[in-house]
Amino acid sequence: MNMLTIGALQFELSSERFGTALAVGAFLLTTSVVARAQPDVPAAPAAEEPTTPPAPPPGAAETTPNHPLPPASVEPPPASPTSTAPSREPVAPQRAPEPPPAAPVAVHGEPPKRAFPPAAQGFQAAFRSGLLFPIGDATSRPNDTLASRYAWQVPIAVDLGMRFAENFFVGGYLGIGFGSTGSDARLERACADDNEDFDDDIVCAAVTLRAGIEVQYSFRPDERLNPWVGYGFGFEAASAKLSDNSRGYEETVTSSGLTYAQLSTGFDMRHAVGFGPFLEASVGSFRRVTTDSGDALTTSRPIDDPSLHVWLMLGVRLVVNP
Amino acid sequence: MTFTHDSRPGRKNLLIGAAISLGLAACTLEPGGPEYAQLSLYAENERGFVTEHACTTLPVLPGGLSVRKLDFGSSFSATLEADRETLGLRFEGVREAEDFQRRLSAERLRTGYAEELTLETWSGDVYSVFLSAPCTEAP
Repeated sequence: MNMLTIGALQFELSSERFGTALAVGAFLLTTSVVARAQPDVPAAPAAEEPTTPPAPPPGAAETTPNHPLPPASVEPPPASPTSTAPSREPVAPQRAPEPPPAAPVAVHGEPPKRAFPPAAQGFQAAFRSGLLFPIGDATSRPNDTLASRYAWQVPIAVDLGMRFAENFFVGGYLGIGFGSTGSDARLERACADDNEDFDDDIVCAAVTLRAGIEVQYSFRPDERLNPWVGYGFGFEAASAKLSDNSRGYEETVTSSGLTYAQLSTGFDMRHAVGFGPFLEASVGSFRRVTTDSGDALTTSRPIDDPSLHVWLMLGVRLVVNP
Repeated sequence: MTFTHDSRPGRKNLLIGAAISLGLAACTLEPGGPEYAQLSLYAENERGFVTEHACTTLPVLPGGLSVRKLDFGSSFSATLEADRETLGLRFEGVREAEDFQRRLSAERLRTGYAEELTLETWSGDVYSVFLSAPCTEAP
């Protein structure tokens, strides 16, 4: 069932208009929230070696650093009432110069702690979510667009791999998206549950799966704000299912193929974990279709007229060991 | 003695009844769902032996493709290939098979279709093949 029911009202979500507006709004909101949430942590001052004043000679009075020793054994001559010698003005007590600002105290010789971690090395993982939009054609047949088959989806993706040479990440990605069927007019009519008995007489749903390998480059791996870009390729599949529970009929159509280029970019706010928005475009095409119909038939055939399409993903990601 | 008739309660009941009627009219017991296009096929030989009815439903989802092959013993076979728009039917093991190929649109199957074909196998057996839409049984 692809109908959102609130109380006694039913309305249909226009997948293209509503989904696009929601994605843009979510992206802008996330970016502003992330930018505001990060406090301005001043950079830790450079560690200074604590200066140890030289040991005073034995017998000399102790002084604070940078304070000159008083002149030794100089006593002003006794003042004469008739003396015309210019009277010495009393020496104003010298104000001790203010000590320099305290440098971070080193403990056992360790450098002071940074506000954010240094460039990551070794294992790294990222968890991504957001909104996924279909763009382009499913096949070269007339009106067979990707959006006519699949509506926008909510994806969950994981990136696992290794960081090396500070700037590079190499690993694999796995993503699953959940949503409804697309804007095809006949499909919308087929998936309409009209009797309002609050039973799921007609249920339509769509799922996508993408997996592959990828490489990412971080421009500022050692800074608090780290922009990055990535490229990957792999395998993709999209499946739509219709369940007519009132008549006992089920049908599933799965289209599968290759992702030629998964282009991604974003930036991470680096602390103990990294967090930030990203944008991803996966360019691919379907090469095979598998149909499971209510007649207990399973048919798998190559697609004779493939076409390019794009899955556009907007979202945020959380990075472990950023 | 005067008698006055207050029509307001009657008018009120009429409005309530109209509202209920409109509300009931908006409700339907039919769940909706897809309009199926189907083809039923079975064969009968000269001795009255009747094969099982085979009901093929055209895919509803975009991109769906359904292929089904029916074997009528060792005599002949029929292959049905369907997408959501059309259904193609062809026979193997019969004389002049190309004359019995059919290509039927989903719209025609939904509005109703019936045809009887008389086939002769290479072994000389004669079969009557009955095509009809929709299927008499549930999909």
